[in-house]
Amino acid sequence: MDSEIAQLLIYFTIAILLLGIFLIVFVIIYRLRMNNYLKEKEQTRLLYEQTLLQTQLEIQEQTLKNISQEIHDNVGQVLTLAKLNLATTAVDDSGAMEKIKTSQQLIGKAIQDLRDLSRSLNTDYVEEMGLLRSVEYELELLKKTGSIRTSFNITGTVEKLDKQKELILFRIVQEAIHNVIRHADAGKINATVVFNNHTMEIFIEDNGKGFDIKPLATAGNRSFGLGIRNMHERATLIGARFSINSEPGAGTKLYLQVPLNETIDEEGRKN
Amino acid sequence: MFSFLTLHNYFEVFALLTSLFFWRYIKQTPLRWLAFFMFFIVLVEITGKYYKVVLHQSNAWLYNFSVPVEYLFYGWLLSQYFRSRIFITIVQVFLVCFFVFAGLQLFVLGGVTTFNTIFFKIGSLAMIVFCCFYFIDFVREEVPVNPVREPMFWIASGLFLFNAGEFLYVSLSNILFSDWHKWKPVINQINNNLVVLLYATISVGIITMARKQWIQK
Repeated sequence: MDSEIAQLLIYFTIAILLLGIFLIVFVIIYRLRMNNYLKEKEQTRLLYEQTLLQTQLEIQEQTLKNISQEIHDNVGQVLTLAKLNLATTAVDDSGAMEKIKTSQQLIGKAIQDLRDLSRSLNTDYVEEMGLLRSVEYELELLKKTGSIRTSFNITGTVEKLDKQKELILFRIVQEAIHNVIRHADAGKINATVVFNNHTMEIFIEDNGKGFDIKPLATAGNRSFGLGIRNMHERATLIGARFSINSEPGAGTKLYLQVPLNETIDEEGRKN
Repeated sequence: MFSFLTLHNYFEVFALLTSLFFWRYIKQTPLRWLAFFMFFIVLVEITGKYYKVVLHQSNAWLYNFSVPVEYLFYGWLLSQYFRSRIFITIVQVFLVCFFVFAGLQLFVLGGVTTFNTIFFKIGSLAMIVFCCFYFIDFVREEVPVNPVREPMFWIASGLFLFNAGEFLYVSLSNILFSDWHKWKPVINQINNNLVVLLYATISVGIITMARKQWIQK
């Protein structure tokens, strides 16, 4: 009788343990399903953010294109007409003639500047010229101002990226160059593009006053300025690595690494 | 020298050695206290066995002190991994009440030398509930977590099974302890196996934590 009770006690203990194991297995299965759900949710969120960003960029590009066309077709034409009118104006007074000539030169300069601006804003030009030529052109424009020295180097075998990627990269580089002009107080800017087997690296360095990046880096991406955040978001969109290094008095270095053969499909998966 | 030690004692020693071996990985986490706790457990077990087997004296007084400490420690350790504020509060209230109750039971109501089964009853039930709290928090976690790679999941699972197994014979203790010599082999067999399970999962938990920390570094 006692041994039967002892056996019962053992059996009951085993039964409780089995129930316990069942509960733990249930927790594991539930957790794994929850993990799958969370992963899918995260993927959907990323895809949504990516689509949103892409739409924003498309709207931005369209706006830039419209401005560019407006400059080229309207303002440019009006100025050309004004220059033509001045060219055909004959005045006896030599002082007035001198002023007309100066005005003609000024209008000519304005036309050229607007043409350059129109070119750098227009998506079609960038797509037509390609990334490298566009960057070079942007640096040439900067050099022409005479306020800053520029250099542009390419190493490795040049490989072409898809147009969308090139456009986004160009906008990042353009933003970086504009940041140098606006904030860096630099005398020189170097741009280097390196092609490796599977990646393309872009380095943009200046010898300007630099800034302390530590407080920005520790506080996370949100605290970066709008320009840097835009660059970062654009880089994320094409699966590029983006980083900025700077110290007060030591200039700023921007680094971009782009996978050459990686594309992102409609579902946000990297191929 | 320690010929009186049995398999479950070696598992306790193994858990202690694991916590010492992986100390540098667990020292930044709440699991670091497991090293001290395991040292305490091994010391209690060896002393208890020595009293019983070598000196043939009662070791009830020793377990009357160590058992409440165990429940207090495990309750505290689990609460370190809770996310729900209400669960943390429940455990904190329990820990304070249990501490006061243990003091009263030992020094006023039950006495130090008589084996206090009430600690087991309250403690094991509380541990089962707290482990359920942990599991609830664990499944509600808003980031993907792999259970197998989660150190505290191993420890909570071990604690849950240990206390679930223990709770049955502890609740029958009034009947069983009245004829202790008859039931001792069965209860010891169950208890020793549960101890093996508990300290095996604690060891795995420590190793998992070490792996996690190593990967993070």
